[in-house]
Amino acid sequence: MTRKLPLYAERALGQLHATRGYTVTEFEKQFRANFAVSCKPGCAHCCHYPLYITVAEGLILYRYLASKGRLTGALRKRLAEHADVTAFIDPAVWMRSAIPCPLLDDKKHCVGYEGRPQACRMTFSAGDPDKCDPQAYDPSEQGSTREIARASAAFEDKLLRAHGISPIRIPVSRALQIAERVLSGELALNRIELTLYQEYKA
Amino acid sequence: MICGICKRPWEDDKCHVLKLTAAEKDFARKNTGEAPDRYIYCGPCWKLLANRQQGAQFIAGSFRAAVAGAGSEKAEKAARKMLAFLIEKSGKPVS
Repeated sequence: MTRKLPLYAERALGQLHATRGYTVTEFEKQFRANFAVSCKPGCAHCCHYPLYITVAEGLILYRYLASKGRLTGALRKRLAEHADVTAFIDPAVWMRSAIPCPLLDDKKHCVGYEGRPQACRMTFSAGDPDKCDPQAYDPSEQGSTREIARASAAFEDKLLRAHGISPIRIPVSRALQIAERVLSGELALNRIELTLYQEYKA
Repeated sequence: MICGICKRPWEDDKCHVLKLTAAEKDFARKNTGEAPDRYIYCGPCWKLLANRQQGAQFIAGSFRAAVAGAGSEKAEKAARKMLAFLIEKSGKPVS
């Protein structure tokens, strides 16, 4: 179910979607102008990286998955397993453990590719794609993505705070689960942080 | 308590403490040169390490990073071998 949210939230999501689209397009344009992108379908090294998103991004992604009829039982099962194993985990431990993204299907294709989060859209490989293997990952070889991602995240935080929506970043699976509860009317947007805190305390 | 894996402080009741048996201590002493009485894991790290596949992948990945960091070019091959070994041995008691 993807019911409409309060106007302030819909406005924030719309603004987020638009600015995210612009940032990503500009970044990709610049990246491709300077480097030969070596990413290809079926290579899913970066789909094993820690991925934290805001609930707002989770809402956008959830709506996309729902609109395409991709919220299958198998996906829900993967989300539950992923949320369980990544809850409160240290990002460095997550990285070394090479936990596959729950959106990856059996053929290593992303079921939410067109609606994927901004962090995924801003991750490119220029060179040997095997160097992207999370367990062989060398942060010193990382390019300019981090700075741009940080600036973009700061903007997203400000935008969401201005609209009274939590900018807390949580594992992608958890964000999708929370998004489902928000869109079904079970959880109010202003109760997200409290719910996460209660989960942590439990 | 401080988790031995992620090194973060956790409340005692959220940690999993593994007390080593005499055989496990001997095994650890022979292979690492030290044998603590217990290993402390936080809830999230324990959940991960208790998972046969993910736990083995984490240990092999950390091993690869350490070997590669020491300058060896055989890190990848050694880590692959270690992963296969860990998966094969997981679930079996230390003999």
